[in-house]
Amino acid sequence: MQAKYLIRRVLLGLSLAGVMVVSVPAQAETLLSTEALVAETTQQDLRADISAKLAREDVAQQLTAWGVDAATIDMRLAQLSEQELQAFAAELDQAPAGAGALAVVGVVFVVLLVLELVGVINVFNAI
Amino acid sequence: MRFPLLNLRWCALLLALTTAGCATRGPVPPVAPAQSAAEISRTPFFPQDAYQCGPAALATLLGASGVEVAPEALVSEVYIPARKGSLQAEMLGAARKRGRVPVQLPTGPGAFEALAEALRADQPVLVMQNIGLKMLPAWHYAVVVGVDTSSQNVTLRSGTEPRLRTPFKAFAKSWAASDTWGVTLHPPDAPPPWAALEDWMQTVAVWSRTAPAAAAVAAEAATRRWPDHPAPWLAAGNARYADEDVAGAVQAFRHAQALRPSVGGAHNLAIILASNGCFDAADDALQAVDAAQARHPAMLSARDRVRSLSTQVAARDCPF
Repeated sequence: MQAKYLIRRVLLGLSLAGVMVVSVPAQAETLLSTEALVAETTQQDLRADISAKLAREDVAQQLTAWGVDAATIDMRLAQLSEQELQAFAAELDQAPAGAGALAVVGVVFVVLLVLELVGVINVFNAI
Repeated sequence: MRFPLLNLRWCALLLALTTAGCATRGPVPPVAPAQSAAEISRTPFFPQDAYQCGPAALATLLGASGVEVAPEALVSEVYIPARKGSLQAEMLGAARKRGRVPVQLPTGPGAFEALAEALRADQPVLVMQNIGLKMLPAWHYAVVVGVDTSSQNVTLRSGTEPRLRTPFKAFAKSWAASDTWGVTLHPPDAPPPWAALEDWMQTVAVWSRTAPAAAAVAAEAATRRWPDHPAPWLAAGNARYADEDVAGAVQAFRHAQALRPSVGGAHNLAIILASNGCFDAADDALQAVDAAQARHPAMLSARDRVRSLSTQVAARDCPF
């Protein structure tokens, strides 16, 4: 009888201790991401990740247009840091516009130069 | 072999687009290395199919670093059908997915010497070359496995050639076209001497989302390699907290803040302290940030959270 009583006391104690142990550590707090901390201390200031989200969408859209299987895109982009994604998206934005505009300026210049040399126009007179 | 554009050793791909198009001068080739590096013969070889030099070169490099993977398994991660090639960023991403930290070699005139140094440290180097013309580029990934100063050749695993020997001069020129883009792969606990902090921390940041255990190892390794920079300590702080090592997390965040106070560090440190009943210490952590940053949204939200925790958690003798 005595032994049974003791075992019961010990079991009750243990189960209470178990409850205590489970309830003591505070619920984990939501912290700023490692990605944000690294960006603040290695690059720029701490900023909202909205631009990173937009960059992710831009890049995903481009990859889809290039024929990448849509089901794999999330997995592929998950392996890039936000900084890398933003650099990537910035390049997507700049590429066509930059090359196109320069080409046009170049063509116009050559045409003007030819016209000037053959004497049709005289716009470079002042130089 | 003399006409790289006429066979399928090359593969098109998108390079950093800013260099494409209108450059009038070619980039300056890096200076040839002074010391040889014996061929790293354990580097496997996977001949490429059609345009898929990216998957083949990456499988080669992963194999040398102890991760066995077939190129076919990498196609769905790095190949872009419409570009008939692979992006540099995605090559790095696929290496991360297999537990390796991609480390970029320093670029510029010293790049070739850095490449030879990596080879002497037994690390083959993934490179990107333009093996076509400047006007009609044919971008290509290959793996450099040896450098011989007496014959002035580098040895590459390239395309369908297991041991392609290319003269220094031609290699330097083809490599300079990609701004001497070169990458080695490393386990998370061993940053090599040529690793740059910013580069290493990119992988830590990605892994903190996708592979927390590897992120913790890579962050702790970074605290040993760059003990005087706050970024590794901040990453280690987050990793330790996620691993329920609260005392260790507090220590790491305090260390980071002592090196250079950051808003993010103050935010996380204050909240961890307050959730453990250390309200005075939490206030101190928030005070330590530069006055100019005191109104930063993250500071305001940290203050709010500390205030609301003070009504939920009993104050106690702070163990930290």
